This record gives sequence, structure tokens and C-alpha cells, in this order.
Amino acid sequence: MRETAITTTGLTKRYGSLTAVDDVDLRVPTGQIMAFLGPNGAGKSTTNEMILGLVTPDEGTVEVFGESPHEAVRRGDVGAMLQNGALLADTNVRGLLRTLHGIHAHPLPLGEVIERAELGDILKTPTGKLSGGQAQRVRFAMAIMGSPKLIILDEPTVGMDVELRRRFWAQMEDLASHGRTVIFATHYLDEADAYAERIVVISDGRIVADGTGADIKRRVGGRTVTFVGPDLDYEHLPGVVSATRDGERHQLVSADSDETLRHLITRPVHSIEVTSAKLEDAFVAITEGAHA
Amino acid sequence: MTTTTLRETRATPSIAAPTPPEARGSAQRVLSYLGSTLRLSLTDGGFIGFIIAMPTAMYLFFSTLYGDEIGGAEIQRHIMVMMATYGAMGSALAAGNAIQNERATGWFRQLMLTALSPTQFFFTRLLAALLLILPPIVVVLGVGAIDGVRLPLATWASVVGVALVVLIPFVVMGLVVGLWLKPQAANAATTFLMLALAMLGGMWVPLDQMPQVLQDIGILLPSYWAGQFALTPITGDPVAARGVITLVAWTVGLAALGVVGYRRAVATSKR
Repeated sequence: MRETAITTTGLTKRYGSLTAVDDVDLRVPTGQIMAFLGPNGAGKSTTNEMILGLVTPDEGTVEVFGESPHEAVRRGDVGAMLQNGALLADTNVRGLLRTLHGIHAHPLPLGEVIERAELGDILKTPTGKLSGGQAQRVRFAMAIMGSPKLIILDEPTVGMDVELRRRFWAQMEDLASHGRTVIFATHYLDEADAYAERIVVISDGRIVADGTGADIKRRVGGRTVTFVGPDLDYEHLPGVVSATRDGERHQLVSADSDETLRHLITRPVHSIEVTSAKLEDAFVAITEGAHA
Repeated sequence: MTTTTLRETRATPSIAAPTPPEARGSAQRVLSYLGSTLRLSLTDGGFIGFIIAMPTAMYLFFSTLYGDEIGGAEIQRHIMVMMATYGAMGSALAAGNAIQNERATGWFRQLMLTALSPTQFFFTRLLAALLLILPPIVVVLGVGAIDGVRLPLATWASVVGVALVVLIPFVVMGLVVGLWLKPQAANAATTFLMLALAMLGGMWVPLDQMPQVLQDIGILLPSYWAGQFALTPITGDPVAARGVITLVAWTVGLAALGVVGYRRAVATSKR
């Protein structure tokens, strides 16, 4: 069994009447690339902030490499890209990097950080004048600078164009191949599926699904097929994840709608419609399933 | 539906970083942070312009205007000390405000993801604020010396030392402003305070040349007494008890306001 990077037990955080994170139990082995998938406000950021020691849980515990988040952070074991993370004002990118570099326990050489985050051409740019993608590159540099064993990325590719996104993930995979643990929050299923070996779906502060990309995709990423026809055992058609009935129309959620349709068309059904399942709807479906 | 099994695709982790990282001690990190803080302040345009250049230019202007009158040398020394104290007061306010400013903007959160602890952050910034009081004093006194002000070495040193101590309340004042106002408003407020306190505290025009109402206000201000005390090594005047009480009262009052403001800031910040 691998060493454990993160263990949370009954992790809970409330803001007034809102329970942002609700009784989350999670174990992340070292070296894993894990995605937190969920809509905005699901509790992804708050969970990350508790793992980082920036937010104190109301109930429950977090251990990072067997210690408190603060100890793990001071030791230089943890790096993070915060969502809309603030940059040091009134200086340029180089000034920001130098300031941070001096206070890490065991940082990567500055030259390597600059190269990996592709900051060579914007070192003299004032931090207040960076574009969204450039600011994300600087935040990425801040995340890896301490040479952390655990990297937490909160919606890291927001503001990046397609090409930068691709290079960003290539960098991330390279860093992870050295045994680093990577956790990233996203609300894109495709991104989670492409880069994470494990996806934890979080909704209303609770973990509602936990599995491989293929598993999660089967449950949330399919299409919805609706039609009118007799009551048959549609649930056992190939690809079908769930079958429900709304008035006279039957509704199937399918992970493989082509295959489902091939078999469905042989039944006495008519008025077939196929639509992409919206991720938000899928979250609601899983959430309801989890609470049932 | 298959139950989830985690893929054990990765080999046993070799935590080796791509390049062996450089290890650092705690003292080295604190010194590095102090160094960065000082460097960033000293190279900031606002600091150079408002806190160093403006008091220096005002010294040269007023000293040229009044220095040739009867008793000119004495007036010249007076203006030099006042302008040095004025610049340093601005520096103390700005540095105090900057401590809270970094918490409010969220940069502090980023710092808390390094090896720097909150206590190390606070005391390093406080030390930086005290050290940043010195540049405007040293520059204005230096320009004064070049301009012909002659004083015994011990007197120069005493002026710097006294100014450093009497300006500590303004570091606290800057911190309080930062705790009670949002970053943008706090920056504007420190600039306003610097100008208002200098003017009403008799740093630009001596208090005894102002209308009685303004004199009554001025004598209550910490800036008036900071300026007066910084002059004592030159004039040889005794240290006024009223001044000491005024400065201590301001410091205690501001510190109390700071504690309330800190509790309020913690309570209202959602995360």
C-alpha cells in the first residue's frame, strides 16, 4: 500500500447557515492525480483550503503526510494554486518570484521555476498588468516553487487558451511522474477525465461519487434518450445507466447512446429524442441517488 | 455497476525533485523576507517620490527661502529636522498600513503557503517598518550636511535615534488604518494623514506662526511632539512631559483601536 498523502475524517465547514463542506472522508495515496469535480459552490475550494490549513474546519480532521496541514506547509511539502490567488502588488513578476523564493524551505532553483512556468518573457511585467493566462502561469510558478510533494490546484486552467492548457497539463504530468501527488478542482468533466486517475465528485459539500474517469463518465457524461412506447425493461439495454418515466415519455440516461439506440429501435417505440446530459443535471441526478 | 478501484498505475514514488532543491534555515528565510520587503519598498516609485524626494525638495526650498535671514543657520537646522521627520512619518504610516494591506488583498494567504509562519511575517514586517523610517531621515539630514548644516557627530546620531523612537506610534497608526479601511481607501488615507498631520503638527510651518485655533489643535497631535522631540538634540530643550504623555496616549489609543479592528476584520472575513 502506498503512503498516504491526505486523510480527512468527518471534515465539515459551515459559513453561517450554509454548510460548505459536509462530513467529508477522503484518503489520497501519494503519487495520485486526483480531480475534485463539481459545480461552483460545491465545496471544492473550501475543502482544498482546509487541506492547506488556510481554513480551520468546524468539525473533523485533516492530515497531510501524517501531520497537520500547517506543519506540512512549513516543511515545504505542499504547494498550491489558489483560485483568483492574489499576486504581490507594486512589483513585477521577477520581484514576486524572488520574494517567495527566499522564504521557502527547499525551493526549486528559480531558473527552473521560470522555465517550467514559461515566465521568461514576462519577468519585467508589473503584476497588475498580467493577462488572465499570464497570471495563471505566475500562480503555477508559485505552486511548484517550493518543490512540494503535494500540489493542489484550484481551477488551474481558468483563463488559459487551449494551447496553454495542453502545455500546462504536460508540465503537471511531468511533475507528477516524479511521485508528486496532485489534486485539482475543476468543473469540466473532460479535463478531470483526461488528466486524473481518480475523480471525486462533490456536490453541496458532500462526496457523491468517487471513481475512475471511465466510471464517473458513465454516470455523469452520457446522453439522455427520450421516447414514447410501452413499459418494457429498458434498464437492461446496452449503455443504459438509468431509466425513468415522465408522463407518457420514457427517459433513459445512456453512457453509449449509439449502442442504446441500436437496440431501442427494434422495440415498438416512437418520437425518439437524444440530448446531451448536462453536467449540472448529472450532478443533481447523482446527488439525489446518493441521498436516496 | 462496478465498484471503484483506484488504479495503481504509478510506480513507487521517488520523491526526488527534477533538480535537487536548496535547503534553507529559518533565520535565513526571515532575513530573506526582510531583505525583499525593504528592497521592494525602497524601489517603489511612491516611496522614492513622496517619502524621500518631496521632503528633501521641501527642505531645499524652505532653506533657500529663509536660510539667509538673521539666525538663518538655526532656521535651516529646524527645517531640516522637520522635513526629515515629516518624510519618516509618511514612511512609518505606509509601512504600518502595508502589513495589513497584504492580509486584506490575499497575498498573505499565499505567504502562508511557504515556510514563513504568521508570527515571523508580522515581526519581520514590523522590523521592516522601523528600518524604513531611516531612509528619509538619512537622506534629508545628508542633504542638510551637504547644504552646510554643521553639527557634532553625536548630535546627528541623537536626532536619528530620537526620530526613530518617536515615530513608532505612526507605524501603529498605519496598521490601524489598514485594519479599518479597505486596501484602496487605506492607501489614500495614509497619504492624507501624512499631509494633514505634517501641516497641523507644525512640520511645514511652525505652530507659533499659526492662528490660535490651529495651535490648540496642533499641540494635541503626535506629529507636533514627534517633530519637537526630534529637535531636542539640537536645541538642548528638555523633554516636555506633556509631549511624552501625548505620544503614549496616542499609541495606547491606537493599539486599542487596532485590537478592536483586528477582531472585527477576523469576524467579518468569510474565509
